[in-house]
Amino acid sequence: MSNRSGLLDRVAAIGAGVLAALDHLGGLARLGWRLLLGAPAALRRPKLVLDQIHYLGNHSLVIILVSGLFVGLVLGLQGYYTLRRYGSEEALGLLVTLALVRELGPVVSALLFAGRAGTALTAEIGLMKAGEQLSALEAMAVDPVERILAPRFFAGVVAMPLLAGLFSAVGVIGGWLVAVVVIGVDPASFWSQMTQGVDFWNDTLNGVVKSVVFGVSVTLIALYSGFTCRPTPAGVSQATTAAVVVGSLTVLGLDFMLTALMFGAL
Amino acid sequence: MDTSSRRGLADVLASKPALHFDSVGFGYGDRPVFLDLSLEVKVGEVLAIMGGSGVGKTTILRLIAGLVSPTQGGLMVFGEAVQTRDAVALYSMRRRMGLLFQFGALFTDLSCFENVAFPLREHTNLSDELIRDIVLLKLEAVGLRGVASRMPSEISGGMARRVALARATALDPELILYDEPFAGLDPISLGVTARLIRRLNDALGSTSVLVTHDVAETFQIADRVAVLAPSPSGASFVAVGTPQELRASSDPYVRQFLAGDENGPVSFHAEAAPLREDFS
Repeated sequence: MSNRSGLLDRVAAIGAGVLAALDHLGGLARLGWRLLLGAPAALRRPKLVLDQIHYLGNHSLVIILVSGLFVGLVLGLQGYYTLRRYGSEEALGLLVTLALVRELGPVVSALLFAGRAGTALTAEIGLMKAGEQLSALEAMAVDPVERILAPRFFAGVVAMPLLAGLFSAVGVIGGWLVAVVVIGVDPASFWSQMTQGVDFWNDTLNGVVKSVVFGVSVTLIALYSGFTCRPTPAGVSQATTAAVVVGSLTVLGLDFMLTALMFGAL
Repeated sequence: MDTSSRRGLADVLASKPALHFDSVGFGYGDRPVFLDLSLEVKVGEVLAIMGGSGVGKTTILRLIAGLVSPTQGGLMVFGEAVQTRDAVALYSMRRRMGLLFQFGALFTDLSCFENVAFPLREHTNLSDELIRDIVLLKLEAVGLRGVASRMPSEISGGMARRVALARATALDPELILYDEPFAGLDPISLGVTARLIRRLNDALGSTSVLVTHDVAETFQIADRVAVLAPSPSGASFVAVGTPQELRASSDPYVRQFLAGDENGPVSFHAEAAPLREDFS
């Protein structure tokens, strides 16, 4: 009897978990829809969006540029050790660039963005909620989604591809430093293989599409986490952690799906 | 102070009530907060809602502002039911009211000046020069023109509340809601704020509802006082009347509340098991 009730409890717990997940998905979709409806109001006041692009973008620059450089340096080294076996060191530029533009640029910069800007967004919105600032906006007949969340959302969507582009650009420079300056690969081969092998539409643009999708998902999750958190110190803390964990996992999951769709693996 | 003499304008404007509670009930899930609240507040009136901590005074303000909806009965604000208004109509109603939050709820990334300017920038097309003049006048009215450039983190909690009062009245609202406007104020600020609430109400011809448990100051400025008493089935008004009428009230809760007496229908101690059970 107790075994049966224990089993039922476990099934009920799984059901409750699924329901909670569906509830969050529905909440995310509803917030996304409200943000889209708030787009005209946000775009009528571009300064609000520009301020947020500056806040989210500029403040993420250091971590994005430094990480991009190191990822490029490591890619250069690892690529060289592999390509040397086949006598194809000249293709190092192509390898580094394709890896960055197609995958590592959008994905790693989105993960860093979730950790740096996403957590800042969640904490900011959560603290505004805890301090009754969002209620004060409602009481002043100002829609907090339109006035506070929408500018941050569109700023995140714009900032993400720009940061991913910078990450890839700096990464390529890192790869060039290792390949040309340290190892001694012919610079002309490095650049010519890269320019001939990278297709703008298939490689670069797909990378940009990825980073836009990641920008939408990471920013939406961060804003949703802050907007729905419990208005207590512990609630804001949990929401901030959830924002970075869920945001990062979503980026990785979406990356797999997008890669399969874009590059014809499935 | 004679309350009838300062209500000349109010009497003229009081053709229809600013607020009308018709058997309003409200609760969170299974937990009832209010039961059968009925009250009418006339235009130009200063109404104080008093009651112990946690009885639900702030929730009444949230009901009036449409931040939460009654679960029973009807609540009319400016002659229209709050719960049947759509989002646009709710926002339109809120543009006619100001709400002072208990802890101010100032925007922490904006200066005091920008906090007061916020509703003006959001809801009007006034020039920057005019907004500047209005903001400085509003801050002067609460005695804080000198802190206009400071951030909320650089002023005291009491000052933040006064800046929030300036923000709540920036658009000269028809209805002003005050949530504990006297809490945490020093005696000088308390007296000045109380008189300011009365003066603002009379000068703007507006209606004010304040929730508080500060008896002395409230009785000096309120036209009427409604006393909210707790009950397991939901709090309700046990007395509504002028300060003089309430002082003469024979209701045991009103008498206990006004006298600050430990003995009465409300126990100081929350319901608990006998003391020896916890310490045996």
